[in-house]
Amino acid sequence: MAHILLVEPDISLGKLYTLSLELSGYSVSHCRTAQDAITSADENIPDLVLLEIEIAIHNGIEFLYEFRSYPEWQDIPLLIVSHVVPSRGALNPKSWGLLKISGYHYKPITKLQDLLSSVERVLSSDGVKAL
Amino acid sequence: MVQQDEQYTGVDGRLLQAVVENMKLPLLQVARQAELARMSGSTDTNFSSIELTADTALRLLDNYLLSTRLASRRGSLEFEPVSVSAVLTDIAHQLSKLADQQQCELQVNISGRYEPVIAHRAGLEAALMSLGYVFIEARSAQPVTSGKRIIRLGAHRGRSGIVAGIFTDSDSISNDMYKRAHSLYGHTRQSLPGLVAGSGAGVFVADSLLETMSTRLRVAHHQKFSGLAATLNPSKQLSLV
Amino acid sequence: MNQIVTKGIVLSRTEFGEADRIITVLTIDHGKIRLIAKGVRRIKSKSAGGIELFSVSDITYIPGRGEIGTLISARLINHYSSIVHDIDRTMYGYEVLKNINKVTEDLAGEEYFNLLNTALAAINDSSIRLECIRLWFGLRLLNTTGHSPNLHTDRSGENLVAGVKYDFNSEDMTFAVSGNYNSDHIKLLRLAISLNTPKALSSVKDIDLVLPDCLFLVQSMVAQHIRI
Repeated sequence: MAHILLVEPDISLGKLYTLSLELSGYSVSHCRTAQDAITSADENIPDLVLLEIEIAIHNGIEFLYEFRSYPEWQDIPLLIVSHVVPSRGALNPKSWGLLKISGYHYKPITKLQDLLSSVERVLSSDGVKAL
Repeated sequence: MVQQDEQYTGVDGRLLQAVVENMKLPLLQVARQAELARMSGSTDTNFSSIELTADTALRLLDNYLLSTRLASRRGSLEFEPVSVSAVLTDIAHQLSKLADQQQCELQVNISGRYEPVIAHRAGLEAALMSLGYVFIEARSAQPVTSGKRIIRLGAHRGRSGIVAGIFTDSDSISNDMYKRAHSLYGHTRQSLPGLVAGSGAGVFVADSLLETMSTRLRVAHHQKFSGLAATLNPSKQLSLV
Repeated sequence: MNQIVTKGIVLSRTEFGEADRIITVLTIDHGKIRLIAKGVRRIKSKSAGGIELFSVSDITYIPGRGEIGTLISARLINHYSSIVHDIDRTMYGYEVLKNINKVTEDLAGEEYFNLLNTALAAINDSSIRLECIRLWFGLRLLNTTGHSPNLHTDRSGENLVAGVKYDFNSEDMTFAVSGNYNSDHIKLLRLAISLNTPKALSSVKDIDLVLPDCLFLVQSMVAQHIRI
């Protein structure tokens, strides 16, 4: 069973995403802060990370760089699922390849179905499937 | 000179933008919760309706924020050649669910083949989308005409460019009504009482977006249908073969 | 033991072994060095003062026989902590660290340390516009690496004059007559490259008329001449 690390500061959205992913056969660790996400990844290496950039204390960009600084985590696929408009400076599409970002979902227009399709696509191209 | 519109950069404007940004989250929660209920097999049709309404509201807020961002960068926006027919077709596809829910028939009518227009693509799409929401809401509350309620996304060549907009098969909007609406909005609950029950904010969001492209909405006609449209400048460099 | 004390800015950190980290530090007087920070557990790595990113620290280390020394202690002098309060500034901060890391060799001089320190201080200061910092940093980086554009004479050696529009050739870094850049563009570039800090750029009148073009130009110069 593929394991997903969900970094999402909002409790309700976190529960929604977690439930929809679990219903699709994935196991999920939901963390609300960057530090908790690092700790969680340490305890249970994820097959995929879903990351919101707008997090308090340490933002998602910090998490991203910290996460990628660990050699064993460098190739774990990562999808951004964020309130931040992708073309607005932060994480413009030119940076995606360098940080190994597999895709960018702008939350206001991303349905759960879109997200699930994207997760399935990324994991299956990585050789990991949901049960 | 790059214009920094006071309404967007003053204290009130910034506060409004911050509030609007905050409002997106609860709407997102509602939309995704409704979607999850639907995906989980719920037969309650209300969930589809709530999902659609919440998503529509989210888009409107997003389009408003886009209009403020574009307005603050006027003078340095990235314009590109945009195919009007492609945009209208895409918008129609995105509006189709809402139109169905509101028992309206959506049509796309482009009379002729036109060269691309110079526009900010995302802004133009957002403008037509916002306008579409209002017209669907408006038309759905009006009586049927010959058994239908038709919303037409149309384009034709005007005297000074390509005219593109949203039109309906009812006499929905007049020049006087639209002129009055501009002086009323922000001051009254209903700026377009003859058209739509709510504030009709989508019209003004669309107008703001188009203003950043040096054009405005005006009352227009398209093959006996009336509505609101903008005139866009064709690209002189490219033309469709 | 031969201990060295210096001031440094951490450019990057990477995990090494079970509990160690390798940090790359740009120092004020010993160039760019790589150090093992022993026993800095992953979970607490973010609170390990002194080797935070976006900070200046007093570093004590022992040079290694090979390329990597051993960190003895790090005392935080200045933490540019406001950078991470803004996503765009966080992103740019990382970009600046990455750029400096790529252009500096082991014997990098004090000028690189000062450039980086000033850039981070500016990014940390929300009153300085990010686009102004980008312009300033790009030009100063070009200057420091020996790739300054010629902002005074054109290709044929004539002085650049007002009222004429120029084109810019990124290969030989000179202006030539007939293009889109006017005297306002050139004045802004001259000003930016001469400043020790980008702060003054934020108060240039009507800067938005020319800033986007100048920024685009500088970014193409950097892309052409600095391999980052």
